[in-house]
Amino acid sequence: MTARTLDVGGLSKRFALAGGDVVAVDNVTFKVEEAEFFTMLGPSGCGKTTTLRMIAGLEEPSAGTIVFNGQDYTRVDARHRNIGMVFQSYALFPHLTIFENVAYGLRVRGMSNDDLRARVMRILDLLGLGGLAERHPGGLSGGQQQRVSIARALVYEPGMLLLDEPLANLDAKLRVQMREEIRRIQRELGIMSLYVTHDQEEAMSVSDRIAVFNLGKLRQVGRAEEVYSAPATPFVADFIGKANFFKATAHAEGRFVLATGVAVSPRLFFEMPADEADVAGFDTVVMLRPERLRLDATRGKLPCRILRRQFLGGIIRYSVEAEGTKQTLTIDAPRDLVGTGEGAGAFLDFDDNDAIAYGSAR
Amino acid sequence: MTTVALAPGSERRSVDWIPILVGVVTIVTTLLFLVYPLVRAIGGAFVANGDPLAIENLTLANFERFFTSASYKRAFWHSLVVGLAATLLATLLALPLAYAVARVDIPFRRAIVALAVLPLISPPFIGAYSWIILLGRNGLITRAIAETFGVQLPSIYGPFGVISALALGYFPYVFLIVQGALAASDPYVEEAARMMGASRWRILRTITFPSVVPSIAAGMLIVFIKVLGDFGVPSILGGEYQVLPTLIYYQIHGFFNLNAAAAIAMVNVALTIGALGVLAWVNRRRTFATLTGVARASKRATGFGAKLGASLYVFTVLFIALLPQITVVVSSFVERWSGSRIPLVWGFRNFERVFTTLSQPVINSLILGGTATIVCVVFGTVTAYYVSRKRFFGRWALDLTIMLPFVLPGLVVGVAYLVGFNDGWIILTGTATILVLAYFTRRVAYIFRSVQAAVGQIDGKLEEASTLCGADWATTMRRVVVPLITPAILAGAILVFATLLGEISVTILLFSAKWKTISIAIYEYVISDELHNASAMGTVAIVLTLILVLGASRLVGRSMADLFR
Repeated sequence: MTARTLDVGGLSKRFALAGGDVVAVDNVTFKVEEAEFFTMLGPSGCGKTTTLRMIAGLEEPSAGTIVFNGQDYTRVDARHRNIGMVFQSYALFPHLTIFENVAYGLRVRGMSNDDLRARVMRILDLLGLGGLAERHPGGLSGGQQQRVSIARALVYEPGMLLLDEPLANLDAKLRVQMREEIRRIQRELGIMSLYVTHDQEEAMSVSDRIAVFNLGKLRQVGRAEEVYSAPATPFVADFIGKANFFKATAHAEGRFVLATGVAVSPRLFFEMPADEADVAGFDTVVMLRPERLRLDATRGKLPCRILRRQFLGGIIRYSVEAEGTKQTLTIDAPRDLVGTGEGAGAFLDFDDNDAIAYGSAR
Repeated sequence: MTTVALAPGSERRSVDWIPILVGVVTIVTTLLFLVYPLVRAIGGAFVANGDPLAIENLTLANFERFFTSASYKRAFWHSLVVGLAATLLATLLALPLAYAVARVDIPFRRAIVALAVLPLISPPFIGAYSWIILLGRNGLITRAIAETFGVQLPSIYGPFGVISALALGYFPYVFLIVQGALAASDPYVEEAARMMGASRWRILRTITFPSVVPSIAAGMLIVFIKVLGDFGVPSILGGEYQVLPTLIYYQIHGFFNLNAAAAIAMVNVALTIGALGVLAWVNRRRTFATLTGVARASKRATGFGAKLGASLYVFTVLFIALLPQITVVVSSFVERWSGSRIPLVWGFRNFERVFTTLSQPVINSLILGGTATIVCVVFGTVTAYYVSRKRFFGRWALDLTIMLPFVLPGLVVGVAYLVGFNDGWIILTGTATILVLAYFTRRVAYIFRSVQAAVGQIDGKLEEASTLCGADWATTMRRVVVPLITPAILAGAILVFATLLGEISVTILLFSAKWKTISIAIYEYVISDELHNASAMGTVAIVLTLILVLGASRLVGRSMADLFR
């Protein structure tokens, strides 16, 4: 049997609105491997859910192809794709019992009663719902409803599992618990899963790989570490973790000069996408993570003034203004810097190797 | 491992032909049974009686009579006066009632709301003649007062009786809408005003009242439209006092002058449209929306004085509003009642007649109402589902079908049907079909609204979930959608059927000797002064209605009142 992979190629979705077409998804291409947990991450309206719904067959693509296991799914009716989907609102059938909700997909497939009962009870047990089979969804907690929704999507052994913000309606503590459980079941069944969320921590904690979306475009695909340490665009840098952007000008041989006059040779350079200049604030920028900036009372590359100091437990977060700029920068320090209170002057320092530059290619 | 495969078949998306079918059926229905008769009626209004519709025959003669004929002028002004006065009276009755029920902790609040629906379902004309029994020249109360105090009450016939009976028959529209708005309004807003030091009266005047003005206006508009289109009450209680609907009726039954009737109908509709314009103007001047749906209910006054006063008012108004129905039921058991204050002979003889020799109208009503209800259910459910869920090209036609009959009084639809289907391509006059079709256009909105609300309550993701589980369209409908909207369909159907039992304004123009309904029978008994038969027949209608409405409320698990808000 060939490996079960999903190939999404050049996928686009345009909606016709009164004021002209809106491009919800713009030429998105990626590949998901067998048994992979693949997360689509981005702010609301970034196109991640539309992409998921096109893969499900609930929206028709304006362009592009969806190929699963070498078979073209682009125009196949949703009900023939053999896909399991978990919705944010759970979408449980309120008039059916938990058992019948889960059995639904099997009844549609004409499975005999005995097999069906065994199969449903097995998946209910796997999700710890065995005792609730005869209840109706109305009497269940949000977490329980979510489990039923997952059981219903998995019971007919779909080719892939799609999860559309499945934890958004749960409270914070349950969210963490459920995401671990989803990951456990996904590993146990070895099922390819596509997960949509706007929560970067959620994405980083459960995913094999993350696809970051913005303004309908796929900005970067990679493992959590890759996306964090080498963000391909200013948006990705800002969305995954915190980012400080310094206005800069590009010079020859990969050298950049910050507005304050300091020269930097960044580790990486990426081309700035045309629609992201306002994320960083400038056409050409050097980005540094808050924990990669150092604050010192006496020496460093940039003189600055401390605006605010917040004690956050594990770290101390400083907000500073670099001299000669009106820009506020964030520094996460592992410990206090003696003698530097709010209003005091200090110096910023960093290693060139931690810096990443974005700008137009020369 | 057992492999579960989806049934093989066409896996490719096929052309979705169902929306096309729904769109075509909707447009054809609208054009054929609404636009076609209306256009012919409008055309007919511009030619003289007997002339065929042609360019050279066009004339304004039918409208000229509104300036030349004294009876036309009177009918026009009477309609306007009755419309405004009855609307005002209904509002004055309803507003304190709404406030009392929504904001004072009076007993039996649910029962009050349920009872208030009754006058809306059993039409005012059934009750109208009971005002004759009570307050007519020989009425119970009239005679009691004359004998006791030697005072002769003013006559019930004429504007006073018409306005009072209509106001009492239609005030629940204002009551239900305003009470709903008051009960649902955000209690925090009023609490904020109280924290700022406003007195209770000031809050009522500056916060509460302005926030329900749109609801009041909407309720008043419905009452005004209903009153303008009401034929039964003015024809029974009006006497010489003619209004536009009775004028239409006499043009048709007296002279069979359909062209004149069409012209009068157009003037009648113009008044309605004017009222709609006023409502739009009121709403434009104060544009605000209630910001959030608040889960918390508004606070109700619990002081003894407030409760006593509110209860007294509420139960008095309800008693008077339901007195006609009570009178009809009581008098239906009276077999002889002449020359004495107390009925002489009680018994079931009246009902024996209704169910034996006079049973045909009851059977006819059940057949006509039942058939029309089924047509409404099929058309209303399918279109409501499509409007809520899918885009389809028949939308404009549907809006027409749903909205137009709301603006058009029943008598106007009757005139249009008479003009449209009396000759030409389709001839239906005198058949049961024309009644069923007219009922359908008049009532399909009830099903449509009820189902649309229910579909709106269903998360669209449910259907997507079903599809992804592998279910086809038919399975999704059968196993997910239909079970969830069945209560709404049934509630709408019962409402359609119950209100058709007493329908008179369309029926009076379209019925034939073979297809006489309960309402026509009652009307004829009243006109020929056979009040015993009228009462028995009326009781049958009221009791049937009551059973149906109670059944529907139980079925849907919510109050029938919601369907009128």
